[in-house]
Amino acid sequence: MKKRILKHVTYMTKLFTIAFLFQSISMSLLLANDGNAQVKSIEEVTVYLSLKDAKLERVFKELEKNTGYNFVFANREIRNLPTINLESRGETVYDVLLEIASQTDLGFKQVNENIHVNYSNRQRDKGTIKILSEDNVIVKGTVRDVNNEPLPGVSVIIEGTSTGTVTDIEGNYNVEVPEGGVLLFSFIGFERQRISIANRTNVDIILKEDARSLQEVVVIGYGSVQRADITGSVAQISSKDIDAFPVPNVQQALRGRAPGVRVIQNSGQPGSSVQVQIRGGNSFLGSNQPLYVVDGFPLAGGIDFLNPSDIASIDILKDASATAIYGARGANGVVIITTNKGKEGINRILVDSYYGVQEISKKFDLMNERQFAEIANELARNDGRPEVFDINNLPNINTDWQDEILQIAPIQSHTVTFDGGNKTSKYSISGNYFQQDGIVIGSGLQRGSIRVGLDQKVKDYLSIGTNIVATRQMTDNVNANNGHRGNGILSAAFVSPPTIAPFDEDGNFSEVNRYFFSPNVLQNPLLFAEIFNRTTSSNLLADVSVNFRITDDFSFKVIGGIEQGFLENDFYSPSVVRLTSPNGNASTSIIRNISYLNENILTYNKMIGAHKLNLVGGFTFQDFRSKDNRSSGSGFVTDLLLNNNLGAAQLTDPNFSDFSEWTILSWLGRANFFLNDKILFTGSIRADGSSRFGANNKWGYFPSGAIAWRLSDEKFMKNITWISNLKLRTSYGVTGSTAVSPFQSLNRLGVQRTTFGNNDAIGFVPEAVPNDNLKWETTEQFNFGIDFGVVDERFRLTADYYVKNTRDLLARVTLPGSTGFNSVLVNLGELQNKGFELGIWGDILINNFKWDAFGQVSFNLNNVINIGGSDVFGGGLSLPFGSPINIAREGQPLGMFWGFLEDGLNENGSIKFQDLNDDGVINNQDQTIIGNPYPDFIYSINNNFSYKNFDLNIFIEGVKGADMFFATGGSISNAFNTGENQLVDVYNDRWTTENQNINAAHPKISANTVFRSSNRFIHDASYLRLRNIKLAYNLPFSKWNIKGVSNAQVYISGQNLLTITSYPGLDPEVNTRGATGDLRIGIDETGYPIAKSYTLGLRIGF
Amino acid sequence: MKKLFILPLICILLTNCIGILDEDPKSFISKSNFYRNESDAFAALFGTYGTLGNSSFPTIWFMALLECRADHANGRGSQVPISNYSQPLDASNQVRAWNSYNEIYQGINRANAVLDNVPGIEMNEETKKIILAEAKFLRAFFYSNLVKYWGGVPLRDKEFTDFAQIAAPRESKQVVWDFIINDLTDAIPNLESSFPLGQTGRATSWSAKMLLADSYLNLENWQEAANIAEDVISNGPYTFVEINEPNDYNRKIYGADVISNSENIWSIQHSATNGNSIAQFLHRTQSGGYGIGGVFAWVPVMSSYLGTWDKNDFRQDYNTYTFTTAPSGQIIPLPSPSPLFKKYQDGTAASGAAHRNNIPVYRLPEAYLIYAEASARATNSVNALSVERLNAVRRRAYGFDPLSPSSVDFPSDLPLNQFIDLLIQERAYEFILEMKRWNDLLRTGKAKEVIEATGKVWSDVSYLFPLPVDEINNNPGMTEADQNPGY
Repeated sequence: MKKRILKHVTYMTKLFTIAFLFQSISMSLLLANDGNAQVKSIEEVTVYLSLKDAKLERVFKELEKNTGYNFVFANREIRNLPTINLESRGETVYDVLLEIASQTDLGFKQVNENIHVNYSNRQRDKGTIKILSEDNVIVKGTVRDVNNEPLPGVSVIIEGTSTGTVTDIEGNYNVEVPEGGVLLFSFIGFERQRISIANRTNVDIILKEDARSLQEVVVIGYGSVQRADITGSVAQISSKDIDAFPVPNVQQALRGRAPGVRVIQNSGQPGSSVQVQIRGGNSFLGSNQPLYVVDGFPLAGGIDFLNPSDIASIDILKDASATAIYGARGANGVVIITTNKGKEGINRILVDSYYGVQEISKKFDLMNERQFAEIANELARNDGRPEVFDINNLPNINTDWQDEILQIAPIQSHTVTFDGGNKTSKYSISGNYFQQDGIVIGSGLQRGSIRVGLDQKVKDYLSIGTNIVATRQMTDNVNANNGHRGNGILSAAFVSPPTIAPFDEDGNFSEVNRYFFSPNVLQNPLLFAEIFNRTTSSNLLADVSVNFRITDDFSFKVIGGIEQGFLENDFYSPSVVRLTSPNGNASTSIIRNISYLNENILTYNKMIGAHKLNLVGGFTFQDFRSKDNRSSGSGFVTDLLLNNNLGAAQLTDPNFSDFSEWTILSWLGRANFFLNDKILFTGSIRADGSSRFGANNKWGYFPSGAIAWRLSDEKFMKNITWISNLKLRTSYGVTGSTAVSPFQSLNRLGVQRTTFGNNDAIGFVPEAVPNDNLKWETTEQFNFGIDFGVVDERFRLTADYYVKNTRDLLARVTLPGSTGFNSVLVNLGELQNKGFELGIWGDILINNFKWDAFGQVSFNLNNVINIGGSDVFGGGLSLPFGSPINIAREGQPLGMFWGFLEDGLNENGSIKFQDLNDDGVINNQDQTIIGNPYPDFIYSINNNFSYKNFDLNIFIEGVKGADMFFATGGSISNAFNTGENQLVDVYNDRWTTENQNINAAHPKISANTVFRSSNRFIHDASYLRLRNIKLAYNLPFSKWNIKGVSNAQVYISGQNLLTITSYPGLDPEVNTRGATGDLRIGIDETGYPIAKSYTLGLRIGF
Repeated sequence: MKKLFILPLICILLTNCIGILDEDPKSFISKSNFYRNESDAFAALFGTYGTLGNSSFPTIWFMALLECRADHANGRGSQVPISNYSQPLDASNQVRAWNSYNEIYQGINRANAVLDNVPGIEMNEETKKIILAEAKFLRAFFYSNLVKYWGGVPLRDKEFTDFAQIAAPRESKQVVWDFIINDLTDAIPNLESSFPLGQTGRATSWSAKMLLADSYLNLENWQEAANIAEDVISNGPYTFVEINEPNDYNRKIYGADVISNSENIWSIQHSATNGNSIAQFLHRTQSGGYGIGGVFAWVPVMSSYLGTWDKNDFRQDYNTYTFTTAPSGQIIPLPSPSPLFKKYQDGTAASGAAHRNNIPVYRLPEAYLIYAEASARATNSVNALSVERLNAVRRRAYGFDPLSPSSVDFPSDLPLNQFIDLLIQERAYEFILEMKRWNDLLRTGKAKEVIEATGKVWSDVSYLFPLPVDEINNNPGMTEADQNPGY
């Protein structure tokens, strides 16, 4: 079988540049042949053979079997030659070749054990047989990149043989070559070079980067293909982009890197959740988050635990042809993450460190002490109470509470990676420490992780591999988001009176809820940071894979894995937080999630003439269990114990525990057929059985199909040399989403506690309306795309148009309260997302001064087609809104803003709401759609410049046309309703009894002024943000003749330094109800703003 | 050949997988394995009682709505709009009304689940009758709270298990009251007449009779109301608790350590682990022994009857306070606002939601006052016994023997109007913060007059709470026209 590969050496050399993985495997196979050094002359070896009417392929195969020589030829060249007859009874190989030559006009050239079949020059060299068993010479040299940096790990192969080597850490190689031989230099990400050594013994070469080659490997589900062979819509993000600037987690590194991918950071609080949406949201209820697959393991949860520096590449599967292989979990797209792997021949130590500081980019302009006092007096006058402040005798305290809770916060990350390997073993081991303090006191995150990736070739037919990631992450949380009237740290800092100092004369936290008008939930902002609220997650992801090569064409892979997550929460609220925990309040909880995976995948690869066939089939099983325990208590004599001894609580609350489990079984199959390498077909199907669904719908089937046509490889396009690639793709497929939690279809009874006498009794009560028909959401997606590349792929464009229809939408349909239930879970209705996305890559300048750029723009239109005729509302907001402000209505995007329209002020200074139904009263019937939380489009532009040893990166990202509901304004822009400090704007432009300006922006200062969820709070949250700017200097150690350092880079960078927006809140990017999983989107309710930061970093390799 | 060993591998996997997709819940119960024995029947009933818990109904939001609507309390903070009668409730307090409505119906559905499922259980028939009667009582109690404050509402008498049941039209007040009276009449013969102390909180036949008398009072069926109240007074096992000083109210009736008392006919019981948070709503953070205070959300209105309350009435001193006492004994005056309400207090509570104070629903004094009012109105004249019953309640509050004449007695020759005014006033003193006053003002038609007397602007929108928008939008039996006036 090894010999066969050698025979296909021309094909294989192309193939082994495909994937790093494949490269390694095929390299090993090639190099495994080194032992066969003794080569006999073809004039000595004899043959016994009798063939009639045989095809040449068969002839060569028989000769190989009989002689030990390898024949090197291209299938397509000899396919059409006539069959021959051959009879040999102990004649030499030389004679046999002469006989073949006479029948076919072919020439032959022997180089050591290889016999090259000379087809192309057969007119000239007709029937010649050259024997080149020359003496070997030693050739040395250094391989460098265009920056003159040595390249370690480059494969150096003698053409037509299995012999070769790899370059060492300084890019040097040393190889024995037959005189006049040819060396092939190849390295992933670089253009391959073929160098005739002639009489030279010293060959230094420079390899050019080839990052955008069509031969790049793209990882798809249960396999990988070359970019040229892709039929679906798949975007790839390289490690260079992932760690281009400091990001606390991998999701944030996806932002702006691929068309059609929207990353929404719900809040700037360290450790807060990030939403990734691929091609819009398909679901009401589901998270709409993609399925994450790490090194082949489909995760049950998110990827917060991964260190961005450990990622080698990310492939994002977008259309159904790509995602259908993940069936019931593929509807929201699939993000396939490949961690770093060791490379053969180089043992490296890489250090990647940065340190930065973060600070707030914007503060609210709030009323000062005097303005506050004036407004408070005005409230008292307007509401018929005595004035509170003596305006001319204020104590001059003037606290800006925002300054009290904000800080300049460090962020740092340090990663050390050891990787390398030899022919049979490869390793990559890394450790990381990451720490980020929040810009609001009391928040922060620390993470430590280790990762081990090992690959071992055990036998020719068997290799094994393992990937293990273990992470521990500690997050200190402070109650910041979704505050109102001072019940969270940010809200309290915005609304606390500037007339009160942070601490009283005794140094205690001052009482800020001091006036008759003060909000009753308000506490001193500093108290929130006194509450200890730490989440510790310990994650382990481990898998082992065994890969059998059954025959040349067949291989079988078995993966067994485990994903384990322990999520602990420690909470202690000390007695100083008098309002909510006057005697101390503690809890401890732990959630244990375990998921087991087994996958069994059979792969078949076959060349059928000029056609390629690739088949994948398999069976997978995954099981999830989650256990949850919580204990809490209150009434502590001392705050010293925190939550470490709940036995010290005066009152222990009832324990809580929970258990849930679900299982998914799947059969999957996929066929790729490449017709003449020009027309590509893909078909796939997956059958999923999931325990989550109703008894009547346990199994779902998810098919897909795609066709791509490589126009540029057609004859009529071949002459247009400036076009390097033109491919049209179209696909259609069905995927699902298991948005429903386990057990939802059952008629459940839950625990209800009650008390008789002074003892509690436990009862059971109906908890849900049963639904045996509950099933997955089905998303059908059509995609049409075009890939276009010119000037050797120097400029590339990918454009896709898609239409996604999701039916059987899982919806929590609101029930009339008189049923005794709030809602029921049903499959109802249909939702459509359609969009267009465009990505452009260009190497604009390629000489000394280099400039490459990437730009993308993505449009997505979301539309509720059918939800059974009646509107569905999101959850309510905090005061003063209360009622829902997001609506799902047929014919509209999902979750549009719903509320009242204003019509200026009336003569009493109250807000005039529009009476839309003209019935003379303003009530809920006067609500309408008042805004759209979805952007018209999102875009990003990334620029890399380099000159000599300097690199400059400028990354701009933006959102256009999205509205945001500025719910923070319900507290700080509400006519002083319950005594909150207000924006200065309220002071400056308001209706007063002295100046009854009905055109004033703000109504009468009064507790009775009514605010509703109106267009007053809707603002355009379009923004353009300078996400990153980075200047790096590559230290030229080799020029300085310093050995041992292969590369070194220092850089300074800044993130979010500039934001252009008209949005009045602190940050146009927050989405504070984003984690609730209902319709509430586009809401900024005291969102923790995203920081700007300055970073200093170092990357060095030994 | 190597391919062969794959097949057994897959087969092994498959055999292990049979039946694996069936769900087997472990942390809750599925209906298919419930309602099978007597303890399941009790669990279903106790779950229905559990509705009387501590989120919206009856405490804390329902109670906040009733008490801040009454003339004696102003809401503070976000509850300010409840005490503003000139316009509809603001959005956030509408939500509180909706949530109260929804929780009441949650209780109705739970009671219906008992009534639908328990009859099929094989168990002691006597016990079964009692359980079903208690469920009917609870259902009647839930409906009575809807009809009093929302008006006529949809009637649901079956557990909701199927979409087909979704439509239910809004019924008239009379139909709902008839339904309530029917449930109570059914329940009373089967209910226990008393429970041991440890079962306090379960409904007895006397609890049901009180609710029935209360219902007749609201329906102005005076004779029936008087008859039933008289039955409770004469035949029930209840006697007045003796009060000799203001703090006796705390020690003997409302205090956290009181499990029950001789005048308790029905109460909602609380424990530290199933506590209420009313005290947190009444007191300030530094509440000086009144329990875990916090938001002092209900502020006494001194321009109401509170301002003219006789200081010799022990209830006056018991119900409000103007200072707290530090552990050192130092007197600390309350900062503005002062005074605050005092009735519910649990000085030993460990957290804001752990106050053990029970919520009285029916006490013996109410039987006296229902009798007094109903018998006078039934005959359209003040009779001696009605004055005597009113005086009994008043005497006890001044520390006298309730059943002997005293110096605070009202004369027996009062005109009816004046008698009713005094009686309604006595109900206010006696039941302050017991969710009675607002209904008294509504059913006697005094709401507008009393509220305006405190210096506030009245609008008729304040008579009823709004129906939830979700009810109107999603109940095919209702239309926009069914919403209460002004919403």
